[in-house]
Amino acid sequence: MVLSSRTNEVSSDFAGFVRAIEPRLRQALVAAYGPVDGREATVDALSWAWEHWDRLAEVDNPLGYLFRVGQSAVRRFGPRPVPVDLLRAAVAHDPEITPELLPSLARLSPQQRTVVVLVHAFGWSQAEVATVLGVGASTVHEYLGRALARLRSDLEVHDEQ
Amino acid sequence: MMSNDVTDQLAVLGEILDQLVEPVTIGELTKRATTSPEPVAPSTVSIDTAPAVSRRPRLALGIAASIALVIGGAALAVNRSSGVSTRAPLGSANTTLAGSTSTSAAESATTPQPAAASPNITADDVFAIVRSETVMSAHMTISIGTLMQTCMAEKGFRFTPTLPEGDGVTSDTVFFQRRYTSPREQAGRWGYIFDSSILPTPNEPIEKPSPDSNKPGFTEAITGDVIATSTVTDSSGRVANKNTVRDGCGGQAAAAIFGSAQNYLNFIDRISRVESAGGESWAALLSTPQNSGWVACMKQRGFDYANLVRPHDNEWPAPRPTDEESRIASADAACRVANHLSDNDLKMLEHDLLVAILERHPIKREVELDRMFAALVAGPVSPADVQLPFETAVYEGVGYSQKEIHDAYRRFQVAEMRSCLKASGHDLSDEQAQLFFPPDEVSRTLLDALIEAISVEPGGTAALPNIGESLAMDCRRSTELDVAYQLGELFNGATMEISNRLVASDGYRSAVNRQKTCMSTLGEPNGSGERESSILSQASKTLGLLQSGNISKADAAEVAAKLTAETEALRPTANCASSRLRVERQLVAAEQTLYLEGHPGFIDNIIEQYRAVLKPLAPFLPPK
Repeated sequence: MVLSSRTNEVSSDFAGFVRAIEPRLRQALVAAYGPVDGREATVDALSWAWEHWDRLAEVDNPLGYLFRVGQSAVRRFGPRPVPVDLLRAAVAHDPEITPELLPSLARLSPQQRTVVVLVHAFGWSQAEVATVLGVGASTVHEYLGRALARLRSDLEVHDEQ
Repeated sequence: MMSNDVTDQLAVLGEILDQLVEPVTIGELTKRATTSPEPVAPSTVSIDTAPAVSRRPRLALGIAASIALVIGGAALAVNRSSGVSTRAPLGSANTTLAGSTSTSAAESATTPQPAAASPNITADDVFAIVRSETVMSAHMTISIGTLMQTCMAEKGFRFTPTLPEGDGVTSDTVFFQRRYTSPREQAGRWGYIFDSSILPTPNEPIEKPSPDSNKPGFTEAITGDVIATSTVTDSSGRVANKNTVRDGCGGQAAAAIFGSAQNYLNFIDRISRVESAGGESWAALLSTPQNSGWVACMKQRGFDYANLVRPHDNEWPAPRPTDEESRIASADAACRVANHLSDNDLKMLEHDLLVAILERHPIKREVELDRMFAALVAGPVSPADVQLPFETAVYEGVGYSQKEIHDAYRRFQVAEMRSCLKASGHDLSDEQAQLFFPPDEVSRTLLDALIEAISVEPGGTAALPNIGESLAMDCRRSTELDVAYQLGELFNGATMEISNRLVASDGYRSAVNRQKTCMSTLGEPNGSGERESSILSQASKTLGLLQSGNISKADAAEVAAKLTAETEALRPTANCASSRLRVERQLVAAEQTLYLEGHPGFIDNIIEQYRAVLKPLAPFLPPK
């Protein structure tokens, strides 16, 4: 069923749902796929949510579910490198970010990158990340530890976690 | 001011990202939904988000070679001109595997599937096929091998099929995961120890020669005459493979699995072409500037290799890794990073090369072949398909099949349940009394039983009786004769002896290690057993409450939905376990055969005792 065959009126329930969930969903998908594909995936996931609003109402963890819908959407885009150019331009003149940070992030595995960005860039708790990714807290902890170790190794810095 | 703190830098990055990426508005959704195809919703909960892995040629021996291996050697059913030399001994493996057949790929392929959008196979399809083909190959090995066993027996030969030891998933996945994911962390420590030469090969057979393999005519019975051939070319028009089907037991089994010899040949051709494209993309990768950069980088560090595959071909001395191996692996990892050949970069590069190859030489998508592949990946054989000699001998001895005894036990339970409840003033029909027992004719788990119990319409003849939980439990207990458990008890001494031998055997340890490695690729292996137990416990409890009328169907349905979702999340873990269980069962079967040979009179004694166990079921067993 496509949206055009439905009423063009957006229910207040759905609008409220989008307001509540969009920032977190966008952050999670941006963390996983970068600013361009991540945002595109967010649009696709929320479009899917609108078209399947009834089904989504029965889902216990809509954020986690839509994250996976977003993942499916990204796969449809086809695998491509995390587009860091947009980000690179944005951070090029930021004195607080070393130029090596973005390439180092791009070299992390997708899971490691998602976890480290969600926790340390967007301030999520490890439990929240676990819920969205559908993995255990211990797994998140492990990804995070490895990601930080690799970033520190790449950047040759030794700060305290 | 430059900060040295990674976490501080990430926090700043987060602020930038929040400012950079605009929120998605409802208006965008309207536009998107009217102009875009629907995104693919996840059918299962999976954490595996990595794109399909790339492969080195040596790993890409592939399905055609594996199938050749199944059918008893490359010359027998599938001839490959590519010179792959993987050849298993004729008719190896296990003397106890029953010749049970499984759902054929052709049969399974009749299940309606959504039609594919693209007329040709895409690069992602190739990666997906390559990634799954070892699993498919393992399942097909068993299916074809078991059919061959029956065919060979009809020709007077004892043939024992070459069985895969695992599901074939692990080595490939783990190899790439560890090799490419964190080279700086692991290369120095592990060297090339995760190379596929160290990990078991995907379809490493359990090698035991067929008893009759040296008899005249044995090989001819497997091979027979050529009945169909085909030639597969690569994107340059060169012959990549020649595939052949013969009319011996190997070809007949393949034809039975695929519906016809021609179907089988079409399937093999497709796989050969996919493999050929995958091999070409890798070969092209070794001619890229990135590879040249890697060669130069290694040379600077004192290591002279023609391409990035070469170090993997070294014969590394033991104990591994030596300092030299570690140094080379570390340099390799650093040079990969420096030349964008590690992790995703490598996969992306190979993907792009593959896209170009497929544009030059497209592979037509054929829905029927896709279905066959999916059916085979799904796995036609379960651990339960391997018959155990102890049980087989006992059922033959008492004169009833396992199913006849099981059905008789169910009728006994229903009768006992009715009798018990009637004594307390509840006169139930057979249909109602059956609801107190898992309907295992159609259900595999307690959760299935719960779901089925929920689906019973209220007010129907099978409506759940409203009796107290305590009474239901008491009466249920009175029906517990549990003949299967008692048979296990009779075998206890022998099975303990066998278990003690098995846990020390290489085959068993290898199977357990494979399960562990398989689970280690799933992200969160720990605790899955507890979660599974918890699911079964909750399903059992809820079923009990529902059957005794102490919970509404709506509430039970809510629990069932939650448990179903949890079960789905555990599916990858269950698949790892299933592979191990199948191997374990094969090993147990072999040990039981040896035990029976070494203990004459043992099984006769058990049969006599089991007849006594079955006495209460006599009125419910079929007349003989």
